[in-house]
Amino acid sequence: MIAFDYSYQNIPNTTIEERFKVKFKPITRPLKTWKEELLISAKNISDSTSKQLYVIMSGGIDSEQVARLYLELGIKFKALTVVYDNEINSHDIHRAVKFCNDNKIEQVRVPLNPETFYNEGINRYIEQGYRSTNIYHYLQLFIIEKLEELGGFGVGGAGEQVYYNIDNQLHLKINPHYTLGMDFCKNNNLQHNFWMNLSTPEIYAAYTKIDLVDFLLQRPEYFLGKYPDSVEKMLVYSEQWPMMERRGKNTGFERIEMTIRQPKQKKLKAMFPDLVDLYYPVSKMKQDLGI
Amino acid sequence: MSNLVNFEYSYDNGLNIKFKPVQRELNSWYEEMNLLPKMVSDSTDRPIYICFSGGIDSEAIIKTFIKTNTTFKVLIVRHTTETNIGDFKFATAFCKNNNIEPIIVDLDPDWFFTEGIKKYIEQGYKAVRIFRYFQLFLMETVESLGGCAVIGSGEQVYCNIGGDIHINMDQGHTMSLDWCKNNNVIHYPYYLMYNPEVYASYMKLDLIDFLLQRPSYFTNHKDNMSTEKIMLYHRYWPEMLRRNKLHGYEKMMLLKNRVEADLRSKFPEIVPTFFPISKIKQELNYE
Repeated sequence: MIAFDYSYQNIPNTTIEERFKVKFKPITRPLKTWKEELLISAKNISDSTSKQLYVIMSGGIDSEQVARLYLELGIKFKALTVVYDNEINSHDIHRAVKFCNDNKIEQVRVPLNPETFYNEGINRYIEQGYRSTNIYHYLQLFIIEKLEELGGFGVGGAGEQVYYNIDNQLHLKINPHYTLGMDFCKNNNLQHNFWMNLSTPEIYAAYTKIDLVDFLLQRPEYFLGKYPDSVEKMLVYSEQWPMMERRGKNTGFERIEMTIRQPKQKKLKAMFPDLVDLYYPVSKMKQDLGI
Repeated sequence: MSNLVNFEYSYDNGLNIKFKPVQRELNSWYEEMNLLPKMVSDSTDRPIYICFSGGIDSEAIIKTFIKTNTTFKVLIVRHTTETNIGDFKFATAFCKNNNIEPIIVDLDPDWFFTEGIKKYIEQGYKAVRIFRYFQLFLMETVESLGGCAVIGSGEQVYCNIGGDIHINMDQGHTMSLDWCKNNNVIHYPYYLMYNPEVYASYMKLDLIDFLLQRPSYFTNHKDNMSTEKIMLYHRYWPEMLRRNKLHGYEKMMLLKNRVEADLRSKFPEIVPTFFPISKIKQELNYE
């Protein structure tokens, strides 16, 4: 369950807007605060399954946000963390390890050799028709399979809003491969929710109503950067969860960015040239959401 | 040496600071930043060495020197232990792209932070953060090159104490200013605090003004990080590459923690002092 409906048809000689149809669902009730909406969604997700809940924890603030929601709700969960061989993502996951230790959360650590997986392991998914130009999405599929082996239900903090200034108008970037994990679940009749921040239109809408986000949405000049990122999210999180340690924005790929990620993604882009980014106007998103 | 920064200070029952008042009508912060290179250049006959860590503060400063056609050199410190390899690569690549020939200085951080700092401590320089001693190393290095050092420190990091926003400083902050005074030399270890105008104009930026009215955004202040500054820098220098907020010690945190614990026990009198923003604004007297 996510906040937008989508469809993708790979028709040659068409624009991305023609191939990839996205429409946000309208909110269905008066909005609560963003955090209240997250708590409602977290509870609903937990209620939707009888399986063991696993929060996918990378060490980043999004996954810690999800863990903190469940702690606040008093809902028990385990954590699942992918540990790359040779401590390649140790700079990222050490916070997840500490968080779990501090909060007495059982953490299942899944080892992965990133070189083998990203260079060869993902071919299995590609052969099944799962197409992405971002290797991170194949990691999501790997995690889903691991969760199935464990008999668990995965929850993650993906779905952040990253704004882009194009001609002084703010846009969201949505790539068709963004929905890879959702498609994988659908095709295999599985239930997981890695997209907490996108899980309901109310969460998405309530985020734009946060005073700081609202302030920035009226000032596109803050999003002129050539390398967009959601820095404002860090401020929002630290306001909502003051105990959350501030940290650099890590992807976990820092130590294999040049050696594995970029070369592989270059190949994937050549393999799937139709998977380009769709820039969705924030004004249209708001209109769809009905706010 | 108080003309090196925008505040007067003294040690009387701890650190006392008084910000100097703004002397003229404020320009925008971006304009004030671009006025600084000429002011610094006019203040010394020596070549200016911008100490480039690879971080956004020093990058922004270099950009202002380039924009204003002010002559400068760049000094980059390379850890012999490769603990700052990411920052170092970024800094050298940036210089190459901008046709700057940097001076590269090697430093063994393991030795410096355990043994090298003892020299300064024996001379009476007290701090509980190893970065403060690193500032002395930078200034001493630039001094040996016959230059004037510009270090991109002095950012405004806000913290919420009891519902009021404060800026945290301690005696270690002014150690580098004492060093300049004792050695009768001019360097700028707190370039972002160069004058009251650049400091005050930062507070007048729409985003900062917005946040200063909302202390809840600064309740978590343990990590000494100014997230909003990152947003501002990318607003004014959109071409600036986004990168992780690094302090250069990521790969030597155990050493840093151990040395700083030793320093805290050695200098228990050095404790954080929180200066209320309302008082700073009053002293800057810009409204």
